[in-house]
Amino acid sequence: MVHAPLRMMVAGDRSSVGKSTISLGLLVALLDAGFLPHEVAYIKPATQCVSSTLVARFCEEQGIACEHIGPVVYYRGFTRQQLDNPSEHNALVAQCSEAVDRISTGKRITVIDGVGYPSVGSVVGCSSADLAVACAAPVLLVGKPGVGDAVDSFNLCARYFEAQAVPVLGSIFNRLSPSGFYSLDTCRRYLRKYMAGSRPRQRVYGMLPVHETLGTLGAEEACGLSFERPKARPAPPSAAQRRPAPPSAAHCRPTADPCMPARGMPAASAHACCAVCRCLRAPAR
Amino acid sequence: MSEEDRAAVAALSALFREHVDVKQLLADLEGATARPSEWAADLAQYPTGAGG
Repeated sequence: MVHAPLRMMVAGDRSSVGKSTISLGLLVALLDAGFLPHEVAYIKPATQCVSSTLVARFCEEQGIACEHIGPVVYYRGFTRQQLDNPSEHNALVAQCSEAVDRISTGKRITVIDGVGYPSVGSVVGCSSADLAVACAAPVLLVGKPGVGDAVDSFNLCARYFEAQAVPVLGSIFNRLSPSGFYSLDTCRRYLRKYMAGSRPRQRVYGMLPVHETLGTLGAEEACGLSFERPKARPAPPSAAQRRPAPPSAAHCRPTADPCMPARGMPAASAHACCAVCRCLRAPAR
Repeated sequence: MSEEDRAAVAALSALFREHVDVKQLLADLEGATARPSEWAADLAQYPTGAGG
């Protein structure tokens, strides 16, 4: 039984290693374990992607608080813009931390989805380790198949977090083959042997085999990179503006949770953004 | 969610039930949250004294 509010960052050694898939799996597992949707939150505070994702659609359907884009979006040219305006530097981690605080309010657990490899964002002072520190979030690493390479990659990532004293819990290794030289059983035996001997604090929490249905997730979750600076967020609504919309203004599909706050969306986004309120839900048909 | 979405979620749910120890993960997360210093890595450090 979990009592204290918890936060956990899901990180990995590269993009598309399965961080969002593992995050989704964790959300599903939490519901299976008896957590109620309103007790759980998901956020990707810094991202390179502006597309709709399965984890966002799952959260919306389940009524899980969700913010899958930003507040920091690494659009093309973001680094140059930040380096030209270094005063904005420190604000990025604060923006992310505030977003995590906001979405975590009243929750038992918040899953924080990392971006790319652990140092992504370090150029602007907003790496995953910086975020883990600011959000006080221990880290779960998503690992790759194999033995030596898998351990080496795990250590490369873990050491990056540990240099800032971020607790690294361990790993879920993803996309293991059912047979062959790097079979799941073989990798499990050796990865657990390594952890027990050299990293007794960290655990191998799981080894996921390749799965045909999930094979399409990588493509489905492919990054919809923003090629322009997302428009500035609209100002918070005034008290008068916060009045419930009249029935005639039902421009969005009904949702169980107002989980995706309004924000600017780049024109290049493939997402069908509601043109009326600029939320991230699909427009009503 | 589409039917493909639901199939993916169902597959992922089954994989986690069979292959991931979520209970242990939550227990460790709770421990690391309450006592982060116990999770600090004991890394060898570069010598800082003059002349090494």
